[in-house]
Amino acid sequence: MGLLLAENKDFIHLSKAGMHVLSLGSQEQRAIKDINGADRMIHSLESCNFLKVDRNNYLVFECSKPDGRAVSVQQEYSKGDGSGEETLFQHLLSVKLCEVTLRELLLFNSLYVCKTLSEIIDIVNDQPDPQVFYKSFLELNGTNMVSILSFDSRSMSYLLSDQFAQHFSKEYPLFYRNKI
Amino acid sequence: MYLHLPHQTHQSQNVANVTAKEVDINDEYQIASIKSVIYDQEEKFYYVLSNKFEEKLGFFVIKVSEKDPSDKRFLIKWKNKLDIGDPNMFILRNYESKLKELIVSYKTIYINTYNVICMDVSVEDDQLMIFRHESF
Repeated sequence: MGLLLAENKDFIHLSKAGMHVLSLGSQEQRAIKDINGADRMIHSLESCNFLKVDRNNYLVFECSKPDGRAVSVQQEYSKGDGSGEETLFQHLLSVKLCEVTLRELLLFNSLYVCKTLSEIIDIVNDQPDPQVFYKSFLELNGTNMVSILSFDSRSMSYLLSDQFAQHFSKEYPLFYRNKI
Repeated sequence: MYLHLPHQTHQSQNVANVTAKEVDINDEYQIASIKSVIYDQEEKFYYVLSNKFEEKLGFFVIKVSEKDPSDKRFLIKWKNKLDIGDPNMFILRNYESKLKELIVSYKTIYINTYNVICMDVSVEDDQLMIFRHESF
């Protein structure tokens, strides 16, 4: 069962699993409290509009995938004429949105408090598993640390080296449109 | 499904009788398995969500004029071969940005996902889909 709240423009979906809330309004994000009283940030679907390559693209939020949430940018088009006309979709790109862990948050905070570039490079090079730099997070406005650190060529040459090729995939590009 | 529509017949120059015209929209638009209908009071249009078009399963939304059933337009003809159930339709209006959005939600049978689709119906365009959210 679904219902729409006119004031916040939230869509509520009730199921056996519980209640899902989708923010359909224009407000990018707002703070809420979950069932346990913990602070949460709810991001509207519109907040991911920056991913669109063209104004006419549409976004698919795939939250039923077994390996996590992904946002796909697709282009709607029509094929055929008259009654034989059909709506089809062309896939353009996908971004996998990961849930941030406390360790990852502490690492990001360490990067932001660095005063010199060499300190940032040291932290990047010290990571045994650099996967955290390729992950996209809502906490980083839907982008990843590789894009944020792209101003520094030495960090880039390390993170984009062939030794980490297993982390690069055609399905989920590392570089895409972002808010930064 | 039948729509009763007002139809004017002029018997003389001054007198107008209003009678009903009944249209079977299943036959008229070759649709079946109508899941939901919503009426837009502002524009005097119906939005019809159907699961079948030309005997093919999918997601079909038709905008039909209240006054003239032949004045219709398919907003989407997505032949995804999926049965749908538990549908809801809403019209979301933003008077500041002059946006009118049609929110359609449904569950897909067998694969058990719940979909929420947002379409921009304020423009006469072919690309109306804005968002689709798919979850369990």
